[in-house]
Amino acid sequence: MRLEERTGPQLRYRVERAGGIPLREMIRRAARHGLALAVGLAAIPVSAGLGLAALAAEGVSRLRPRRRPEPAPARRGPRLATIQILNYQGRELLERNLPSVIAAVPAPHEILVVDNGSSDGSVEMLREKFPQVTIVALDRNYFFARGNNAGVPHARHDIVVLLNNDMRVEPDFLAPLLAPFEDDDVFAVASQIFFPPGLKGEETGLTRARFNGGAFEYSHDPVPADPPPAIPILWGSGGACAFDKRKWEALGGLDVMFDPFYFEDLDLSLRAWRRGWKVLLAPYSKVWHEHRATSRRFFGEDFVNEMFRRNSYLLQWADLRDPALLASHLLHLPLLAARDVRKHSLSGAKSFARAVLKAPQAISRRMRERVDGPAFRRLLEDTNLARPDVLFPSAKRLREGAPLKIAMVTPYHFWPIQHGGAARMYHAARELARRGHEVSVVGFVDRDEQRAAAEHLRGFCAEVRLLTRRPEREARFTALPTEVIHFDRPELHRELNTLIARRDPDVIQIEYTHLAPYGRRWPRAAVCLTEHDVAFVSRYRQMRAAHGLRAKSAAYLRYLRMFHFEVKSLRRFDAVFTMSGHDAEILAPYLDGVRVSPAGRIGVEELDEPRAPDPATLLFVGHFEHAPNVDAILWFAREVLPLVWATRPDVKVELAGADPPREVRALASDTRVSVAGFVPDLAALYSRATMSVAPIRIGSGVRVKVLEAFAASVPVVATPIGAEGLDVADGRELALADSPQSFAGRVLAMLAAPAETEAMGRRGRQFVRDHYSWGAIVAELEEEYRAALRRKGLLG
Amino acid sequence: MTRILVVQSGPPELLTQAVDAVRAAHPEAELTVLLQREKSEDVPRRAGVEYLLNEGAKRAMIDQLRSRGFEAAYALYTRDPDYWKLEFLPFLVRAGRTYAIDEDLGCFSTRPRDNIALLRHVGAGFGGSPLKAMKAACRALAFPARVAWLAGFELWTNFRSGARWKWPT
Repeated sequence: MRLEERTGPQLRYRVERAGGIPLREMIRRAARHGLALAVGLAAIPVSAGLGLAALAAEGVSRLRPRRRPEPAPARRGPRLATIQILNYQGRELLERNLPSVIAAVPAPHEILVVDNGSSDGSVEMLREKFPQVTIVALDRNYFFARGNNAGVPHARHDIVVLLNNDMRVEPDFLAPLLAPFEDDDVFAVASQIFFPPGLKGEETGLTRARFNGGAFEYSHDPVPADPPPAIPILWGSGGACAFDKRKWEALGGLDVMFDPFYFEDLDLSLRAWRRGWKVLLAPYSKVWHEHRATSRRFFGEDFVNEMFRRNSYLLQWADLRDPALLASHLLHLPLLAARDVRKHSLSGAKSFARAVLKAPQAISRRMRERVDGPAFRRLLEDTNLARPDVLFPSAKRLREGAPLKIAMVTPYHFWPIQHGGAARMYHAARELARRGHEVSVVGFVDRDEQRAAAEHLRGFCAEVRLLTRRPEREARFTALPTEVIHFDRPELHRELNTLIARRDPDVIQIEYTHLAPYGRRWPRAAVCLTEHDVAFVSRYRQMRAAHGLRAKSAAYLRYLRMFHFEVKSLRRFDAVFTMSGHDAEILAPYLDGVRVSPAGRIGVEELDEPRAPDPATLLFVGHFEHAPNVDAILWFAREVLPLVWATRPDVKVELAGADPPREVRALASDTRVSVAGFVPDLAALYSRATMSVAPIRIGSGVRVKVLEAFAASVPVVATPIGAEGLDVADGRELALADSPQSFAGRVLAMLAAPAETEAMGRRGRQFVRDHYSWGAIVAELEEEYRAALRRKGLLG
Repeated sequence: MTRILVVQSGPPELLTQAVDAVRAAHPEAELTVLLQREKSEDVPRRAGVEYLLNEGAKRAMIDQLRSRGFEAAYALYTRDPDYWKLEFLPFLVRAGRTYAIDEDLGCFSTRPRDNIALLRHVGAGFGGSPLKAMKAACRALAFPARVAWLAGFELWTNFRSGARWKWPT
């Protein structure tokens, strides 16, 4: 029996055999593909013509004056609104929904109904039942754009709220809608639109778009929980959106090119953004929509869809002003047209033909408008990532000594503490909170279950948002390091930006080099980065330690990528904190004008467990997902331990740390080596350890394992790289050794002199007591924050 | 008895679902699963399924699998950045039929003459559109120049800043 025939329902096979398709269906498919090919071919000259026409139009628009007349300034005082409802044959809808509007919009606000020549008695009903409503009765149906344009001049107030006649509003929908207009640069503020259960919600949420495959892909992203009062969006839906009347008139209102409906509101918003005006969503202004009640009823489903596709083309031809995006669209146009035909058959071809007929209007629009505003690409990115740049019109000034609001961005979970970086992030956040600062955390975790840590962190953080990072495919042939690509994700950008919009933090603290893309220049906060190690130095050392030409070349390329990225991106920060003075010395020459200080130092808490060392037990602690730890212990086991055992076969080795790989676990095949995995409390291990080893050969930064051993009074033998960044002396706080022979020699010597060894451990403890207490470190960090704020003029 | 090979080149959760689905489709088949070494411990074992670890010399492993004469082989097509080469293993072991299971647990034959899903999958790897494929190809061609630029940047920046960290003191 064929395998396919035995397949169960779980696997969905997509094999289609020609014999299984009826002849009629095959002919239909062939015809559709033939038509798609024809339309695609016809689109080639259209695309070329549009390109040339757009070029010419751009040239003509350049002859126009750069500065256009600005609208008159708004009247000061409380903003009043005119609610403008466009109606066509909607008597029943008005009767049902208008009472909610009247209840929510008290005088002196105004309600204006523009009737598009209804013959169902809408006007008579309004005069009879709602005498407080102003009526503008048009002689025929002028559709959405012309109808609304006709009503706006009749509005008495500065703000015009366009509302569909099938909208029911919440009693308090108006105040949040008008509040953002305090900022003079706001053009439009949209309400959050909800749909009755069962209806698809296409207009609600955060309106965004991305440019992909030569065309816009629109999205309506959900509004985050506990949102700020306003969020930048790409466009305000014409169904429930407030507009500044002066700016509306300066832009010429909705473009009638899009008649009868769809995309006028998006087009208007894009024109406003290009003039530097803002379009926002007010999530606390809520309305309910009986979706598409009018248009589908009167025009039919096919026509509405056709208009949607036609206007989608027109919008791109009229509004795509970035040369690169326009070129991409025109190159893709034959494919897009063919795809529409393949999907929608004749209706797809008709949409394209209708768009081509209207193309001269789109091109003439390009001619009439000169573009001075932000680049389209930036606009898409800003709204997609919910960047809060447009939300804070006033300058910021903090009082000296006032508690700071700190937003921390972290790449890994840091509770429970499983590695040195986690210890730094956790203790810094906790100590800052203890000192009275408001600490919020956004970051990634590797697995869903790790998000439970948020509960613990909320004990001292104002807000914690942890996202699970999904594995991402590798981007080849780029100049960016792989880990940067893996961690630079729009969802975390959005989460951070939403946090910034909501809390307006004074300090944005980014953790780890590969999160540097989250540290944009931000005028309202000191943007700081903690370098847990100097990443390019680690990559360089990995390259030096690699064996074979292929491995060495790959490691060298990783080093080059990281060097370029780290040097370039760190220059954007207001302050960079390193784990040691040594790291700061390495970095500072590359970062002209950026404050580099060792305020990223890690602290340790002294362990009170009394020492009860075994005669000969060596301890290695390290998180084994960190490659230098794996390299270190394998080198130690293969090169050093045999030399130690040759003299002292009784020496035992204990390894503690999360996620030991197979090679490390395999070391336990010798009974003298034990691999404990993750140990939540290391006190007992430190207590019985004769000494701790840190045979680190690659990586950079400060080894927390060395400091923790010091804090537990455990003597340490380390390589010079293992002790890097610590102001310690060989033979005083620890023993240093580089080669396998010298490392084994130091271990054996210390085992032979237990009294001196224990004294060394006590000196190590005194060292961390003097230099590495969390209180002192975080006080220094706080002072660095304040200094960065002073340098930016935000403090004092 | 039908002998079927399932190759892990993706997350353990997807592999488990795939193994269950293949088992449901072929209840009497002799199932062998080739596990990625690093992720092998996270894969829950199923009764009646043989689990092999992908380790040792590649050539020897392929020879060993080939000698088993699998009637069918399924590979997870998840574009795991580190293990994409495993997607080709079913061809190398010369299984009678070769199938791919994608991230949505969709399954398609990987013989080009069966359907175009394979081509779609390959195309999606290049961005899913001809222009993106061209862009990817250009990027690949420009890669040597990019590496040269990175190396030049490193040399120049280190020279200008007088960096000495490469030389241990």
